[in-house]
Amino acid sequence: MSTDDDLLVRLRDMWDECDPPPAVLADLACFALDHATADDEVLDVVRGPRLAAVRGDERSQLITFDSASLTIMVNVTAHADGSVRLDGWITPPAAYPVELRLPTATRSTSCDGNGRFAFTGVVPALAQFSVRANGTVTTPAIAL
Amino acid sequence: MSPGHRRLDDEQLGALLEKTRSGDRSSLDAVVRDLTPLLWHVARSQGLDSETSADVVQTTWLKLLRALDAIRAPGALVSWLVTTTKREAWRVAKAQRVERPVGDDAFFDEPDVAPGPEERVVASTRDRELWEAVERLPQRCRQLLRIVAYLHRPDYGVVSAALGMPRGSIGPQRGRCLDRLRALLSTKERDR
Repeated sequence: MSTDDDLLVRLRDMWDECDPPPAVLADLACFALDHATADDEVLDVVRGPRLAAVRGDERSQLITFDSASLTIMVNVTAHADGSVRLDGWITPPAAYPVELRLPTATRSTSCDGNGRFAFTGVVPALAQFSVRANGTVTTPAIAL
Repeated sequence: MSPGHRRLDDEQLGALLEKTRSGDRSSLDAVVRDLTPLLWHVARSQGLDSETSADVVQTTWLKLLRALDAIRAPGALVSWLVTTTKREAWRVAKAQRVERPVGDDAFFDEPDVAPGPEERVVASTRDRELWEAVERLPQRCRQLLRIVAYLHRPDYGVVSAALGMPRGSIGPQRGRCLDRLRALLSTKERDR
């Protein structure tokens, strides 16, 4: 019979084979860390279910980024043409500056007074939000 | 040994930690690449689906930036990361239960929250038998084995708190869980 160490190696090989970390996970983490600082408030991610949108050629997912001080709800809609639309709603509402960081560029906008913002025509890639509230609030990166 | 999943030794990790603390982001990236697999298995051992596990691992890395000042040794780093991953996993699982009420799952075209062999293609018969045996272990054993399989033995001490176990008990617990696993595997062989 195998020793404990042999059996642990077999277990590790099995998990490596059957349930390895996604190949992009470390890349996502490094991308997210790239512009983050120790002073940033980091939001948790709570993903809603993926839904086929009203029009069958679109899919959408509601992602909630959450911390004690701020909540960002983002509805991610993937259009049939391959572009993505991001509709965001920040509570408590205020006219915060919002940045969308993509691998190739950073886009900026501001919330309206109700905390709503949108980015349209986004090319699917890694994306990270950053909101200037009292301090800077940063989300993990998501793969659009 | 599976290449790419073995951690740097403590000396290497300690050197990278030191450089990271002085602001060198490429050293931080190297730490991330080395320890992300361990954190993935910690998150998965808590019963989260793949997407949520990936989110939790990332959140943990981002939160490390703020904690970095207080982390001086490689063991403390591993301990902090495992503890934070577990805590984040627990928080997000709780928030998801609110967001996705039980019973609504039938409407959604995505796999269940719980990980299981059914969502994986377990390639070899040997792996499948091992997987099935692991599934029949008590949850406590499944979690423990999945985490210690990715740790160096010297780390057992530093992660005992993270795993909610008294110092010095991980080795013996590990032994008992492996004994149970061996018993399940040999039952299987006898049945054939």
